[in-house]
Amino acid sequence: MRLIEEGQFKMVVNMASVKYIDSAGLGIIVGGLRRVAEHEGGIALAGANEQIKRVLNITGLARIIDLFEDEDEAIRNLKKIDRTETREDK
Amino acid sequence: MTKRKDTKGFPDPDLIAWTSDTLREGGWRPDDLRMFKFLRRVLNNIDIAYIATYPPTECGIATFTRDLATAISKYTPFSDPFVVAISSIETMEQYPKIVKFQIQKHEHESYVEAAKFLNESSAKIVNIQHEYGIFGGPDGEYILALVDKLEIPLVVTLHTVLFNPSPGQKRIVQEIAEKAMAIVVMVRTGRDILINTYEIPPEKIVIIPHGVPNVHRVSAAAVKKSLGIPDSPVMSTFGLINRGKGIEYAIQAMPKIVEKFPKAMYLVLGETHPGVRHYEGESYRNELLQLVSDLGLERHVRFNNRYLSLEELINYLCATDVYVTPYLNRDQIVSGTLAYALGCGKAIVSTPYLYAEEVLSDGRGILVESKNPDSIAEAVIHILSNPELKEEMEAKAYRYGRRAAWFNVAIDYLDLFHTLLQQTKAPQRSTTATGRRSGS
Repeated sequence: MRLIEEGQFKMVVNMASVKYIDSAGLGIIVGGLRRVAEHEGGIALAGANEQIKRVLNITGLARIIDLFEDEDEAIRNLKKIDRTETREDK
Repeated sequence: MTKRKDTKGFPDPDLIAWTSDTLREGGWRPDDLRMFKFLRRVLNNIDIAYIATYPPTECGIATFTRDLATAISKYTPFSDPFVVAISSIETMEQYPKIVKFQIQKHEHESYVEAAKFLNESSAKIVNIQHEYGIFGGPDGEYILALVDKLEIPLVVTLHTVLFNPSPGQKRIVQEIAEKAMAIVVMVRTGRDILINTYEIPPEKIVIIPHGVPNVHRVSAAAVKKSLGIPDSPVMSTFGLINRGKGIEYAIQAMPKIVEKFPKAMYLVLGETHPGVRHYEGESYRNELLQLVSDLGLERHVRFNNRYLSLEELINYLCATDVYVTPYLNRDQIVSGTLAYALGCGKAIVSTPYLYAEEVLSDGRGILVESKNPDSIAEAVIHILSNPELKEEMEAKAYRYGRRAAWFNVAIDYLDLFHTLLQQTKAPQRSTTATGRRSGS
């Protein structure tokens, strides 16, 4: 959130050291996604473990959050993040 | 019964308050209608109906149901879950609005009416929390009237799996399992008993651990201070007090423990089980108080005769050095209190009932002989005398508890529900839990 306030609207979140995610964690990601979308930005998650992927799939958030195996791949693909869905509701 | 406001009538004030609470840490703005609309379209929705006892009814299953429904709701903020509560005339509870229908426990027809209510509701899946005693009829067989009429996919969570069920008890579980798409048990032992004794098809059985609160490890000393407890070794047992808890044996262990640790204290937390109080009043508690007096332990055993809030329970658990479950029923297949102690990362001493044997394996606790105060004392002294062992046990318990945190358990249930609903949409596939991963 601090990075967004400082004007960073494209970011990769390295999840490699995150063991579990709960609804509060999802809230942080979704809140961040909403804010960067206002500035044509995007958020990608890198290195998420199976538990996190499972949570994103089961909740449906996997439809709007991009997942990559590692940071490098996420950075390479960040520009390709399709924000069409988030924009169409504005 | 009045139906809750449909969430399609957006914006629903309850939904806003609740969702904003769920997502507040993400900088959620409740007035951001665009985001609400967007997420409502993107997130997976599933209306779940729970059949169980429910707070303010005071029993472990009621608490479990509330905790499970709350945990699942945090991942499905646009769904409309509800509870069909088992009520009895003696209690006449004032339920929260999540309870949309009440079954009169002892009225057979009420179960049939509940099935009709459910069939006409928005529920996509029904989850029964089963324990023989919470339903009416011999061994709670009235629930079969509901199950028989139900036209919605059914998942049953079993809180009691008996090693030697009576023919009636066995038949009830078998008939429920016949109708259910999946049976959830909380430990592997329960699965084994269901297969070998109840002859339930293995592919229908799913293991999902008992949920535990999401607790951060804190210094016991700091919590003791906040509770006004001296910084001395603290043992505790909590729950709805009844004779099956075996608390008298833990009290009888105290003289030996006090001999070694003169400031040791044993906290017995919780009120007498309402069902027990109904039949025998406070006679068990009074016997325990007399025992404390006879042993001269007034300065070392304290009772807190109240139904404690979750926050209070967590605080007392965090202040505990050794959690004790001296339970007497060898067949007990689940214990919410033991699960909570694991979640708080406590060193645990327990008698060897089925649930304890499984969850305390791999050094997560010490098993002691049932009805044996010396055995309890020896284990407690061993832990208190070995800080490194205590720390190791606490760390192992906490790691287990993290996997069983409600936010993980909720995902296990949601995964199961979605998988089963997918199967109902694909009739050529098996309509059981076949192929699902079993939980930890």
